[in-house]
Amino acid sequence: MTEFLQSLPVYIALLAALLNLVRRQWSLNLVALVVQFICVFPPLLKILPLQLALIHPFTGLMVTLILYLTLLGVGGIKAIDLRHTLTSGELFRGAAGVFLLATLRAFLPQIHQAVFPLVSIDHLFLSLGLILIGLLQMGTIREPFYLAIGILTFLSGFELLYSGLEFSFLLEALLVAVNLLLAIVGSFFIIKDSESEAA
Amino acid sequence: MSNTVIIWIVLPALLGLSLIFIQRLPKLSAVLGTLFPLVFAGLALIFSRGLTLIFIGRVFTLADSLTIFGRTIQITADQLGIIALLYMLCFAWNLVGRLFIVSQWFNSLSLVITALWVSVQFINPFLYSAVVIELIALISVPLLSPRGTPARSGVLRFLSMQTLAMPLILLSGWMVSGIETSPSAEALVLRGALLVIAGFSLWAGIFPLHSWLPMLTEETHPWVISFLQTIMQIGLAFFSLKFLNQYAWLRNLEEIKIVLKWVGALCLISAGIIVTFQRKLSRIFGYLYLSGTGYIVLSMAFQQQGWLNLLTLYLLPRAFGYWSLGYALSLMHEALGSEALRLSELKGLIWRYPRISILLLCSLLNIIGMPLFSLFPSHRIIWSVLASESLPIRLLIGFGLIGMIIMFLRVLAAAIQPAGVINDDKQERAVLIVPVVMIISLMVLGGLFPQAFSTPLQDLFISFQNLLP
Amino acid sequence: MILFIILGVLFLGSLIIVITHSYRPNTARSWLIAMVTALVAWVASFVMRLYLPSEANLLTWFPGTRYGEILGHFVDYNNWPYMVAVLSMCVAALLADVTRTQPGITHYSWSQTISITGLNLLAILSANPLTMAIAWMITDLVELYSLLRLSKAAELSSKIVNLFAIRIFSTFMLITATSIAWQGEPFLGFEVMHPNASLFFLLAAGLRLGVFPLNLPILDSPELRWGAGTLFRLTPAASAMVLIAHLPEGLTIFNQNLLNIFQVLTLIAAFYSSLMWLTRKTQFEARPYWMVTLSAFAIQSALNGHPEASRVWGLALLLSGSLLFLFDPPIRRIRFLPLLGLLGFIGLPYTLAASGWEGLLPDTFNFTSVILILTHAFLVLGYIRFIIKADSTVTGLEKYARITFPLGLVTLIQTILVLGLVGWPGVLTVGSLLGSLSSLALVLLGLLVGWRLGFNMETETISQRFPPYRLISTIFNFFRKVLSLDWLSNLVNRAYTSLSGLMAFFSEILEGDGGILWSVVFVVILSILFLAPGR
Repeated sequence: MTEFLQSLPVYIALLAALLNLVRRQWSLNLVALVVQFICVFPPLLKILPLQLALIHPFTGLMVTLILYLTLLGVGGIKAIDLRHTLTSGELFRGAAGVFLLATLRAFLPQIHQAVFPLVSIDHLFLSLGLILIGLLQMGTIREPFYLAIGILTFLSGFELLYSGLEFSFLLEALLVAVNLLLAIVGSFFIIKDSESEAA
Repeated sequence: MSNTVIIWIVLPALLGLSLIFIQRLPKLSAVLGTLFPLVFAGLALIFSRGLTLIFIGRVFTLADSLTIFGRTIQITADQLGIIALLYMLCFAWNLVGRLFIVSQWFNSLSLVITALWVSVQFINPFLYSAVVIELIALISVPLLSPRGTPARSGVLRFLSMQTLAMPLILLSGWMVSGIETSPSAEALVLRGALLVIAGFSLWAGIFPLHSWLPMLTEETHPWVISFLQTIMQIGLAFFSLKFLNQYAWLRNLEEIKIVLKWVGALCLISAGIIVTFQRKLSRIFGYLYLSGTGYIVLSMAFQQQGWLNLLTLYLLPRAFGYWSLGYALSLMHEALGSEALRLSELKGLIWRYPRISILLLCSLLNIIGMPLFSLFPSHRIIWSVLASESLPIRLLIGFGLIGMIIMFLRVLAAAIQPAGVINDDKQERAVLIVPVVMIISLMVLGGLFPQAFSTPLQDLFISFQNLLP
Repeated sequence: MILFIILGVLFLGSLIIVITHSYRPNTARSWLIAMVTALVAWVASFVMRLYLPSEANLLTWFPGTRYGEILGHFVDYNNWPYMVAVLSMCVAALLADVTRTQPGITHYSWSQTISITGLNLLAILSANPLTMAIAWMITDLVELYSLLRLSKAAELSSKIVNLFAIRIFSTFMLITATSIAWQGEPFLGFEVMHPNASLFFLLAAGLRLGVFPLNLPILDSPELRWGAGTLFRLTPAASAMVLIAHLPEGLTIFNQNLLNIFQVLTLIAAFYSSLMWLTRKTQFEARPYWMVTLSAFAIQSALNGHPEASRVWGLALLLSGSLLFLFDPPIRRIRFLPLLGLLGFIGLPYTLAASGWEGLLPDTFNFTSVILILTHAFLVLGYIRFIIKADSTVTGLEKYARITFPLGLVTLIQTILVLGLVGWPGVLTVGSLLGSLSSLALVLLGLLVGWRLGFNMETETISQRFPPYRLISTIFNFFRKVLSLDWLSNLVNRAYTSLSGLMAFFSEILEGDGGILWSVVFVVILSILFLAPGR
């Protein structure tokens, strides 16, 4: 039971990432993004002191806030509609995401042993899972908002993985800057698109 | 203030950011945006002989390092040549940037981007520079996709590719940490090298990971993209040399030389073949960058045979080649009011816009490396040395060059084809004759007196001690 | 020093014409300046004969490094005759052009004539292939610019592109050849043309001359029939001829099979072109074939291991050729003057071309020799035919033109004579009696037949009097179609269109929605390739 509870954030984070990959509802995506960032915190806490482990989720929250405020500004925030039926594209993305995660899970012990023996299995699963889902998101979607989410997911996975390997204040500072800038760029795109549509 | 890191990284970045606040005064912004990089380049040249300067009886001594977050960033006098070159690029592009309708943030962000490219060369541990390159990509977005236009796929693809590259480089560093002390870890070395190559391939847009390059040149103003791509190509060239200089395992890996030769040749042939079929000048521009990357990679492949010197002969003429082509394309962009610059739109160009056409054709001949023009002397040496290489590599490079010549002939054919009736009341400005003659003269001077371009850079790579013969 | 005087005076003259004309336009004064300039250079070129060989280094690239290169000029017995020939053509063109009243003749024509001569001299006098490549590029660009000023016609523009394409590919071939020949040492002269790179040098020259593959890089625009036009058409060939003259004698040791292919191609080009030369209506229509035939002779000489023999054919192309082409208007009374041009290429003992037979006829007499003698005879016959056809009686010539026009032609004749006497050591020779006498016999026979036919080459007349004509004509037309390379052009166009679609599909895949995933796939494949070998 304890083991399951320890792994729970990993699965929730991956589920949130999958949700972002599949669904196209801005409000829902922002909520999923927040959940994804928060769920990264417990694995980080296992390897880093509290103050350092907090940096990543805190940055994530800031990023989500920037995107939220931008969407609010352009009138993109609407009530979440959970009854919406899945389209074929959503089904495809969902299936592809699940397939990737299942494949990753199957080969995880070998990857762990051969490349990242110092990182725990759960930690590795979450980080590589986020990387793969982020990659899939980046590779299949052209809309700026979802691309920003894809990049943020990808980077989130990578940061998690790298923090399991080594830690540097300078690198952490730079990555925080990248995340925040990415959110600003995402907002920039959203505003530009809404301006073009209005014109 | 008396610190090299502050003078050439922190201060320019701050000045660049401060220019954002005066963007509503475009003339002042342009003047300062031109003046600042010139001053930083000049200072870098002055201090490149030593960090102590005696001026009117006063002694100015600069400290060469600064500690941030527990890491020391160091810029020594030997390395100031690189900085001078990067700021000269920024100066050259800001000098005439105001003539074109580009993003209002061009002056400020170009300075910030240059400062960041300088920092890429000196951050310690240098692998962390990968994150700075990602920052540069993000900062470039307002320039690549200015307000008033929708976000297009090229810039999004660019961002994605740059983001993919960063983890590969960072992981390579971790993977091979301690490799120097365990000489038997051959598999680890290969994996590390692979990550490095893949990372750089994504950054530089090496075939077949080049898709963002023509997409970006197609949808961005030629002046902006020429600046960003040129400084990126040169910045990445320095950064990759730093890799080779720092990592003995990478430098001495036999496979890396073979791979680099093939990667270079592949860039040249792919650019040469694909460019033959392009219908838009804007996309052709992207492939010319791909071909330029090929030449730089080839120079690196032969660094142990003293080809590093060749890079010093090559960098400035190439940068100038991009500058002149970017200028010609920007003039056409404004004159034709066309973004993509389709070849079909060039009909009768030589009679409608003779000065721009001549500049365009000469710039293309220059960048291809034909005789008389500034890139020929260095290209010729590369071709000559490669002539002793294996036949497939020779053929790839030869066909790549033929492809480029065919592309030039297609542009020429389009430009001299009679236009028929064109409702175009725009007139080419007579004053254009001055810059056109100056630029072509410089190209020819560089082609006849190549030392003029290479002498200022002769000590450029002095800090790469391990790569010098 | 004299070298610099010759080049300097030409460019200076051109500059003075442009400046003075923009200040106070006067076409006569411009002509006079051009004439004086050309004469000074022409006389200086003869003085140069006393100082052979002579060299002048202009620039050194990257001195003190392993990439050091030297750009410079050099005059020896290989290129001095060409220099004299080109300058004589310049003088003759200036003298002959004053007979013309077309609106196209302006101060610009005079300035163009001497600047084109100067630029071509840069290439002819090049000390090494590198200098020649640069000089070719300059000449080609100036030629392109001048041609673009001529006309905006669609047909001409595509021809201009074709012409420039051939030129640029010939320069590319020259660069390729120098790259192959590079041995890590600076290029001091043409001695770098090792046998392994010689074929590329030959190909560069062949392309420029229009022989490999058979192309006719000639624009037959009316404007190009004037003096500057003749220079435009003929002088670029001179530097290519110099390149051939510098080829090493050991060329044949490289690859005999490849050489045989080249030899057959050259032979076909020569024979076909000589027949075309013989049968065209006017000398201007036939001009490209004149060039190709004599260029093929020059290349044949090099392939036979006697590159120095190519000189006489090159000189014949320039001097006898310009004598005929500048003979416009073709005044009946003075047609004996261009007839003297035969001295330049008839190949009889102690004439200029006598030493050329050595290159054309190999040691053993064979089928190739027969074809070449026949080709030579056709060339001579065609030349005579065009002169015989000259029956114009111009009456409205200015007084000065009555002197300058023949004087221009005489300039060329006397150059042929001078070069035939002192062009290079050993120029006065008997040559191959077999070749010259056989050709002469064929010419006489041809003249007899021509006399019977009334020198009328109309299809109907010939077919009536010569029954196998129709069969020969059909074969000839077939060859004409094959050699016109239109089929190749169509084939290339089709291939280009198909490949274009393929390339668009490839780009669409990489740049489409799934492009990033494709990129990841490529990275994985390349990674496997990188890690796999030997493991």
